[in-house]
Amino acid sequence: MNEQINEQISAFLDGELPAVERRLLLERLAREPQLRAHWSHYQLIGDSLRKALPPHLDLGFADRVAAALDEIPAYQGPRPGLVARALKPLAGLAVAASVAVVAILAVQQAQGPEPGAVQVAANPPAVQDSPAVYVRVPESVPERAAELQSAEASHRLNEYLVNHSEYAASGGMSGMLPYVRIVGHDQ
Amino acid sequence: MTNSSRAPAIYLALALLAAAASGHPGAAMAATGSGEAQEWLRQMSQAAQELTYRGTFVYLHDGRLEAVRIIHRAAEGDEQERMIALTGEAREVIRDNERVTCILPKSKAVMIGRSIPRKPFPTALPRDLDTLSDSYEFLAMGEDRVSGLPSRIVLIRPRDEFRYGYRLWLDQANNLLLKSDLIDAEGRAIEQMMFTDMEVLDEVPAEDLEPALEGEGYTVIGHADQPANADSDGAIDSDWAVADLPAGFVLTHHNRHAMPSAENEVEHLVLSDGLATVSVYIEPHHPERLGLSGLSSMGAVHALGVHRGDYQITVVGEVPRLTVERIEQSVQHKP
Repeated sequence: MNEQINEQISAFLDGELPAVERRLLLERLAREPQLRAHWSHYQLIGDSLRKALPPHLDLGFADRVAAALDEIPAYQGPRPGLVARALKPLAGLAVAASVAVVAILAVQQAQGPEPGAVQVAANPPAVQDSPAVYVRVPESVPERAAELQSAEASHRLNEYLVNHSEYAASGGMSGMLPYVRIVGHDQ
Repeated sequence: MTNSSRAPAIYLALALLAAAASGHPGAAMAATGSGEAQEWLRQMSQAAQELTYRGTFVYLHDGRLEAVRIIHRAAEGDEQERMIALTGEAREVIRDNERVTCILPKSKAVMIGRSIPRKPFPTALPRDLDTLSDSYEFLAMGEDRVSGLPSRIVLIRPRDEFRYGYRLWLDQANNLLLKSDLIDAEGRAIEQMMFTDMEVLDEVPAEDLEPALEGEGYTVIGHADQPANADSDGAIDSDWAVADLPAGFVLTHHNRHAMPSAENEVEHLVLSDGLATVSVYIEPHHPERLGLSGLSSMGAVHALGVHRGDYQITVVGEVPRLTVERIEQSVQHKP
């Protein structure tokens, strides 16, 4: 896996990848199982960041982020937007199964209720020797991370959307509008 | 859509000021009775089903603009419709009385589902019209011009924040929909669709309704002969029920069906307020197959995925975030 793709994924996680490159990355991801497997190394990180948003703070989250931070020798504390880039792929994670991806609609995570600074490891003794670690979660990170969070979740949601469209079309006012969303949502 | 929660309070304040200034819905545009507006909508729904037409429209959502070609053929009660994206990926949706086919060239996939007969709108029963009037205000808003054609405007305004409304422009000559704004409770457009050309025809060549499949290497999801979402409508034996739904919403379908890529049947509850439709999908939770987790949005569509006990619950609908959240909470598992 080359450096460029690592950079792209990192930028993607930071919400800094230009739309055109983002689209290309998503397409590549849909095509290449190997790349998806590579992505899964980042997935834990994205997952952690996503789940970090209050009020659903996962208690295991601090440990997981702490473990991730241990992997980074020169982590300098809070640097908004750079956290995801700083986190390196974790070795030894289970590789996601090669799911057939049908990308109809990019799953975009909506805003969490309180995006912003999330205290991930405040309590001693876990970080006795260092100040409390805050990870500032850029608003775009949970969105982007969730977009790729699970190819399968996205695939399933797409199936639901197609199925739902037919019910929406038969019961609503205009039978056309629900399908406009499927045809017109180019990614 | 994701920016709705980011929208500064000033917008809301401005919207409220604007509403206060105009004093009354449509004071500036001489709104007339809801009966007239509903009659126009009935004619629109009928025209959309009974006319053969061809046109191009643009579609604006989430700050993106797409163009779509539509061909609709109506003959002796049979309807066929084909939509082709003219921008980006050449997606197609083809629908007839039996099935819906979605062609996704980039994914090299074809998704096939069963079609459901269209109902006239607004539904003929007075009871339904009353319910609809509790949830929405229908207003005839005067005349305008779209795609070079004279049109009349109908405003469907939501009476609370659990649903979206519409501003619709209908062709005065044939009642076809020429332009549509999907609006939130403050009247802001969330999705917009507008025809740039539209022609009503006596007949369209059959090949215009054939898919432009380049052929090889496509994966078919679902089954052409045995529709993917063959379901059994009507009451089913179920451990799931809904209670305390947002005002106006009722359960309209409750069934189980196979989904193209699911191992188990999925339980499906359909809720409607007469205009907006929300689907709830319930399936056994699979530890290695993550379902949607949290809230997502695509234009006006919101989706919420929740892992509850042994089940994965997914709520999907063209309704505000608040509504999918409330409906997820309404879904209850009987012990």
